[in-house]
Amino acid sequence: MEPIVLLDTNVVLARCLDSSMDAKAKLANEVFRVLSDVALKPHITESVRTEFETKLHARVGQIADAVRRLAQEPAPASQSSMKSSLEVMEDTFAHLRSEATEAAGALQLLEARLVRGMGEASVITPDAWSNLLGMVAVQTSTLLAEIQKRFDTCHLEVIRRSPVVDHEKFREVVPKTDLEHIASAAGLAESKKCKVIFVTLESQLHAVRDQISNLQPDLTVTAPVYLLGQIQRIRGTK
Amino acid sequence: MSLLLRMEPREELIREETNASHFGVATWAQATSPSPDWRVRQKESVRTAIFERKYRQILDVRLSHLPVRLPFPRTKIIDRLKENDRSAPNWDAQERLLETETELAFLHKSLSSPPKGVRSDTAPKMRRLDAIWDYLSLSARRLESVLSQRVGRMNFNVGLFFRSDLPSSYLVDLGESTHWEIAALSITANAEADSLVRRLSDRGADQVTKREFARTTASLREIDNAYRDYLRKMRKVTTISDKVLEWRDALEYYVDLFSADSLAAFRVPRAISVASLDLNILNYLSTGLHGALQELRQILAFEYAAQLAAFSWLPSDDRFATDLLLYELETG
Repeated sequence: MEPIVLLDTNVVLARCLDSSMDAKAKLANEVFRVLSDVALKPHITESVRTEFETKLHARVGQIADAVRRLAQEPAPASQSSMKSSLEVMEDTFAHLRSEATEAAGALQLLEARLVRGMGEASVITPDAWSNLLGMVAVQTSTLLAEIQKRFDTCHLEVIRRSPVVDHEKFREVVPKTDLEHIASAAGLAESKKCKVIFVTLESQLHAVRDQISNLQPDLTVTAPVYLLGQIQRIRGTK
Repeated sequence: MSLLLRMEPREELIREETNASHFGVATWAQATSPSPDWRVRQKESVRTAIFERKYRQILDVRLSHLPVRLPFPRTKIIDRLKENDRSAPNWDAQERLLETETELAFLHKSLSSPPKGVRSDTAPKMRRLDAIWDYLSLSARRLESVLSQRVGRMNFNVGLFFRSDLPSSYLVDLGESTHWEIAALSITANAEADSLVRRLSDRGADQVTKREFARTTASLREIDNAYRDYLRKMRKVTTISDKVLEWRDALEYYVDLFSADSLAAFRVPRAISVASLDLNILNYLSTGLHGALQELRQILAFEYAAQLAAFSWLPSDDRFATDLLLYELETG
C-alpha cells in the first residue's frame, strides 16, 4: 500500500513564500516536486488546516487592532514639532508594545509596513497618515486573502480526523503545539492500516522522531531533504 | 466595449467610500418561471421592480440570517436604506448600475425566448449572436460597477471599524470575504465569457470583434447551448458568491442596526460600541460567513484552478506578506 504523506503547517506556510525570499520556501517547494515526481498527493490533517487558518486570522486581526489603535491617536506629525514623523512613530510603537505585549509580532509587521509606506517623508500630514492607515487596514485583509489563495492553489487534500486519536500516547514526547497533528497522523496510520510520513521543518519534532516511531511504527517523521528516501524505503525501491 | 473585467487588484485603486446597498449577482440570470416582474413590459416598470427587489433581498434573504427579531419595522428599514442610497455621493453610479441591470433583464428575456423567424433565415442567428455579445459586454460593465461598490463599502467599513471597539475579527471577516467575492466574480466572469466566445469563434474574448463573432459557423442550436452553459456555470458560482454577500451583509447590518438608537442613525458613520451587541450573534454570523466563504474558495480552487493561480492580490515577493509568513515560521 502506498504511504500517505502529511505536511506540517510550517511546510505549508513555507510553500506560500516566494522561493527567492527564503531557504525554507525552497525546501517546501522540494517537497512538492518530490511528491509530484513519485505521483503522490500532498495531504494535511484537519488540525493543520485549522492551525494555518487560525494563525493567519489571529495575526491579521492583531494587525488590524494595532492599526485601529494608531488611528485613534493623533497623527505622528502633530504631536511634536521637534521630532520627525519616524521618531514619533518609534515612540508610539514603543508605547503600543508596552500596552499590548501579546501583539508584539503584529506590531513588528505593522511598523515595518508603515515605515515603508511613509517612504522618505520626514513629516507626514494628518491626512496622509489617515490615508496610509486606511490603506494598510485594507491591505491587511488583502494579505490574508493572498496567503489563503496560495494555500488553496497548493491543492492539498485534507484528511478527515480519524476516530482513533490518542493524545496521551504522545503527550510525554511531542511538543504541545504538534500533539494534535502527530496524534492525528498516528490515528490515520492505525485506522487505514498504512504507512504515514509526516514532513516537518521543525527541528524539535525531528529530534523526537525515533520516539514517535517507537510509539507508532507506521508513522515516520521526516524533514524535506529525506522525503524521497523515506518514500523509496517504504515502497521497497531503495 | 470589452467583454472582460480588469484583473488587477481594485483594492489599491479605489479610494471611494460608500455605504450604499448592494445588488446581489446571481438572481438576474436565473431562468425562473415568469414572475409578475417579467410580465411588466415597460422599461420603467422593470427598472422599478429591479430596484425594489434589491431591498427585498436585503430584508428577506440577508437579514433573515439574523437569529433575532429586527429592532425596527421592516418597511421603515427599507425606507431608511432607500433614503441613504439616494443621498449617497455615488447615487449617479448606482443609477447607472440600475440602468445596466434593466438592459440586462431585457436582453436575458429575449435570449431566453425561442428565436423568431423561419429555419432557413439567417436573421434569427445574427440577432442571437448580437444579443449574446451585448449581454456579455453589459455583464462586464455591470460587474465592474458592482465590484467597485464592494471595494467602496470595504473602505467605508474600515472607517467604521476605526471608530469602534468591535473585535478585530469583524474587519477581517468583512475584508477577507470581500476580496474573495471580487476574485470569484472576476475570475468566473472572464473565464466563462472567454469560454463562450471561444466555443463559437475559436478565439478568445479579447481577440474578436463583435462583427467577427457574428460570422460564426455554429448553428442556432449550438449557439443556444453555449449560452445556456455560460449561464449555468455563472450561476453555479454567483449563487455561492451571493451567499457570501448575504452573510456579510447580515453581519454588517446586525452591527449597524442593533447599535443604533433610532433608524436615523442606521447607515450613518458613528462610534459603535460592542457593548450594544451580542457577541454570540456576532460569532454565529461570522461562522456562517466563513462557511459560505469556504464553499466559494473550494469551487474556485477546483473548477478555476489555473485562473485562481494566475490571480494575485499581491506580488509573490511582497514584503508585507513575506514578513508575515516568515514571522509565523519563526515563531512556530
